[in-house]
Order: sequence, then C-alpha cells, then structure tokens
Amino acid sequence: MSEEPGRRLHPATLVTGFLGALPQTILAIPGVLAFGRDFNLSRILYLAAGIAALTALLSLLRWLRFTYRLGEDALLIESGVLGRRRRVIPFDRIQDVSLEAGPLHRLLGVVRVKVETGGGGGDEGVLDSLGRGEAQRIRAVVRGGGEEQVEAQDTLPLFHMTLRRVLLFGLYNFSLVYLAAIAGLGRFFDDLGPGARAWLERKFDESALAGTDFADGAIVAATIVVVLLLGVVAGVVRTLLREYRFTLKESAGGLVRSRGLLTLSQAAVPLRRVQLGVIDTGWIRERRRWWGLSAQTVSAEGGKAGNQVLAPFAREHELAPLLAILKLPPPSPSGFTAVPKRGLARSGVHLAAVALLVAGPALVEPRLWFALLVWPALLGFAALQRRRHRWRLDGGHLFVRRGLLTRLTYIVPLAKIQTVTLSRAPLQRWLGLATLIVDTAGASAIGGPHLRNLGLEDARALATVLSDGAAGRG
Amino acid sequence: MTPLDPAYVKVLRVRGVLSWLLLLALAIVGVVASGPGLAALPGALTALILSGAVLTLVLPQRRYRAWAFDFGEDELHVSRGVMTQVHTIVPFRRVQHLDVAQGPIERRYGLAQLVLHTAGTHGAIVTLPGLDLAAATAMRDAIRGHIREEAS
Repeated sequence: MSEEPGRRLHPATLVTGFLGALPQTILAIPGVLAFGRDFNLSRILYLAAGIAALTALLSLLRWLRFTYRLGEDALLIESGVLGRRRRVIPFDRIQDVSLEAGPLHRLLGVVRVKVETGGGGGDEGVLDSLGRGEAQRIRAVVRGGGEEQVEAQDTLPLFHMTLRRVLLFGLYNFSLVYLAAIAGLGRFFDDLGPGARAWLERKFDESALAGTDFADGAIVAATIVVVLLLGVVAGVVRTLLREYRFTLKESAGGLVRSRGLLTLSQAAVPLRRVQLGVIDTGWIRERRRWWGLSAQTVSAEGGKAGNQVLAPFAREHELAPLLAILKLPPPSPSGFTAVPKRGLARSGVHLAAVALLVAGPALVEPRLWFALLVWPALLGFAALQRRRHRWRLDGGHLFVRRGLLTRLTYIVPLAKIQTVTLSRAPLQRWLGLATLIVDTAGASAIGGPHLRNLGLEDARALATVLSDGAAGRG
Repeated sequence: MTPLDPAYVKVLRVRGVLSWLLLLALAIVGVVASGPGLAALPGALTALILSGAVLTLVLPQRRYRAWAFDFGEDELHVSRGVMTQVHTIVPFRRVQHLDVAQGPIERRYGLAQLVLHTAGTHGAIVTLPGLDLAAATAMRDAIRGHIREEAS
C-alpha cells in the first residue's frame, strides 16, 4: 500500500465538536459574570456570543490541526493546536475498531471510530467524527493487518432482543442505586424553595386526613411508592438506552454485537480471545427462567480485562447455540457439589466482628436492641450463600456457581487457567478448609471462579486437576 | 518441596532490623512530641526490646520456614505465608515474561529472586525470593527454554 497523505476528519466534526464543547463553556459564564457588577441582559448575550465564537474558533483550529493517515502497517494520528502529538498505532496491536454514533452523529450521518489496543488509558485512538464510508474503509484496512479480525455480515442474528424483551429486562434492572440518585433529585425539589413545599402542604391540609397520625403514615407510604415507581422507571429507561435492538451476529473470526437507542455501539468479540463464559441470573430472574451470558476476553498483550455481554436476557434454548459457538458446555444444574457447611463457622466469626461494629450502640442504648439481630441476619444470608456456592468438574471444564441475589455460573475451560492458588487462613486450617483461587487472563480484580472455604481434600485434588489442565498435561 | 537458601534468614533479619529502627525513630519522635513523661519510660523500653526480639529473631525464622518451592518438569510450586498459608502453582507455559531481581540486601548475601509474570489478575506476579543467584538464573533459563520449546 502506498503512503497516503494525511486526512482531516469529516467537516461535520466542526458541528459536533462545537456543540460538544458548548455546555462546558456555558458553565463558565457565571464565573465570568462574577467579575462584573451589573447583570443586564445585553451584557450576558454579548458574553455568550463571544464565548460561542471562541469555542467555534477553537473547534475549527482543532479540526485543521488534526490529521490521520493509514500507513504501511500503522495508523498515524497527529493532533494538538499548540503542542503537537504524533501517535502511531501499529495494526497488529489493534484489538478492535468499534463504531459509535450518538444522536447528533446520526443526524449528521457521521460516526465516531474508536481504535482499541488493549493498553491502559481509554482514548488510545479516537477519530471523531468520520463519514460512514471512510469509517468502513479504515476498518477494512486495519482488519487486513490482523489475522483474527471480525467483520459483521448480513447473516441472521444469533440473538436479538425485541422491544418487549428489552422493556421486560428493564423491569428486572430496578436497582437501589437509582434510588440514591432519585433521592438526590428529591432534595432538588426541596431546593425549589418554600413555595413548592408550601403548596404541597396546603394541598395536604385540604384533605380530610390532615392532622391525624394516619396522615404521617400516608405521607411515608406515598413517598415509598413514588420512589419505588421512579426506581422502576429509571431501570427501564437505562436498560432501554443501552440494550435497545440488541443484536448479536456471527462473523468470520467471532461475534459482533450492536445495541443502543441514542448511542449506537458496535463491538466485536474475537472467539480466540474468549477465556471463559459467565451465565448470570437473579433470584427472581431465575424463577422466571431468564439468563444472561457474557464472555471474559483478553487483549493481544494479555493486559486488559474485559467482560463482553453476549446476551443480557435470554431463554435457555437461546443460550445453547451461543455456548456451542464459544465451545463451552451448558451448565446443567445436576452434579454440582456445595462447599462444606463448616465454612459457616468461619463466616460466623467474621460476621460477628462486623455485627459488633454495627450493633455496638445497642450495648450502650438498650432501645437499639434490634441492632443485635444484624448478626443472625448476616449469618442466615451467609448460610444461603454457602448453599449456592457449588462446583463441578466435567471433562475439560470447571463450573463454579456463586451468589444469592445475583447468581453467577462460571464455565472455565481448564486449558485457559493461568495459575492455581490454594490459600489457608488460620481459621481455615483449624476447620480443614481452603480457598482455591483460579486465575484467568482478563479476569477482573473482584469476583472470578474462585471457591471459598472448600474442604481441604477436595481443594488439593482440584488444584492438581486444574494445574494439570493449565499446564496442558490433561 | 525445597527450602530457600539458608542465607535468606539473614536478609529477613536485616529487614527486621530496618523496620525496628523505623519503629524506634517513630517512638523517639513520639516521646519528643509528647514531652518528657518518665513514668511511661520503662513500659516503652520493654515494648521496644520485645518488638526488637520479635522482628529480628522470631519472625525471620518463621517467615523463612514458611517459604518453600518445587521446581517441577513443567510447573513451579511456591508456598509462603506464616498466618495465611498460600500455595501457588504456575505452569511454565503460562509465563509471559520473567525476571531475576536483586535488592541491595540480597546482593550483599549473593541471593536473588525469581519473578514470574502471567496474563492473569490475582496471581499475575509470582515471586520466589531467597534463591542463590546462580540457581535463580538457572531456573530462569530452564523456564525460558521451556517456553521456547512450547512456542516452536
């Protein structure tokens, strides 16, 4: 390939860049105003116009000074208005080229091209924005360099979520995290001032309930209902934004996933990079027979952790073909062994420390006696968790289940295991237990197919089998 | 399982002395800052002597004994830990790169540590200290040869 001249981004970048930078600059207006004393409208307008012009000039300069070039074997990006930065991204280091389009991008018919290399730091190579044709060209050229690149094909999707399915999934995604955000919003309404509050109180005074104990109860109940409803709505909206038209297709080297309502995102999952599979469900979801599947992948240099969702909300028969493509066996529920009950003794000791901390005030203030119930409650939770912490060894795969509310099943090919570690804390030694840490490439720092408080004999035998698999002896 | 080079106890002892000196410095700063409280002096002295004995005599021995390794045909076993005993198995074919490292104290006693890096997360870096430098280098070369064989 001949060396091509540097190219500029699509001219629409001027619009996206300008509008993208505008919110930040508008935030600066009050700060600038604080220096002046008189706040007449024309002054504010002049100021706003000035800032807008400056922002526009900046995005023009940025656009003029940003060029990219497809070299022989690397993507070259030059950028910087004052300081220049010249970045070289070799094709064979590129893990994936993903295309993304926000609402504005779609309006203007451009896409944001993200080149991922698996190194640290998110924005390794972002071309924002390019025309669709140019984006496809870059993708094709870059993928020509790698051996295992994935290209979307016009085949029937392996998995697809209808709008109804997405909405249903949203209902399950109700989460207390949103409640916290909503509580913050509630404070905002409080901040609207005494007017709004007084209006609410007047409305309430007019009702027949005013002045009774029942009234206070009604307010609390109504608030709880409203907050719960908002939590549900927030869960649905969030899910809709992310999972809308979730589609998974098969392609040359792997799988291609696209999803999103306002921001369309497309990502490729090369099969060779897949380390293990995780099936997730929840305590209600499992009862309603819904499961999700994701794959843990690793980048070329073996650095970056990645959990790629392949099907967030699916039936068992829909997951079966996906598992077959990943060459993972389905985890039939039978044949699992739970970790021994005596592990609960250790949990009990640990939880007692937690409970003492929480229930400490109860020792001083007798009316807080119910705080002492924390310990049995936590222990009961631990007992239920223990029952669900199960494992199975089946041919070349280790299955590990864990979790009570969120229930995960790891499917680990023994050949993908990196290291095996057996850890025994003092209490575990005393109880004849061990924790087996199964390390895989691309694993996140928390979670993973580890077995806590496994019987020592089982742990030793399992460690031998797993390390045999990892070393390729099995 | 093979124990580490006995000279490693000395390394641990030197480290114990260093941490004890740090403790001593902190104690002196504490005494100076809180003013002359002679009443607490006997207690503080006893504490310093006791901690010195633990850090330089008891702990190094126990730590040394907790370490062991087994250099197998295609994997390395490393066990360590006084309180929580940890045993890690690293297959040679999982090693991404490996170092032989020497700290200043180790160099003084002709020791080195072998560091194996894998692509994992939890056990990504496995360190085996207290090896004779020649032994560490030999182990490194053996693992490198194994990886090369695997690759070809």
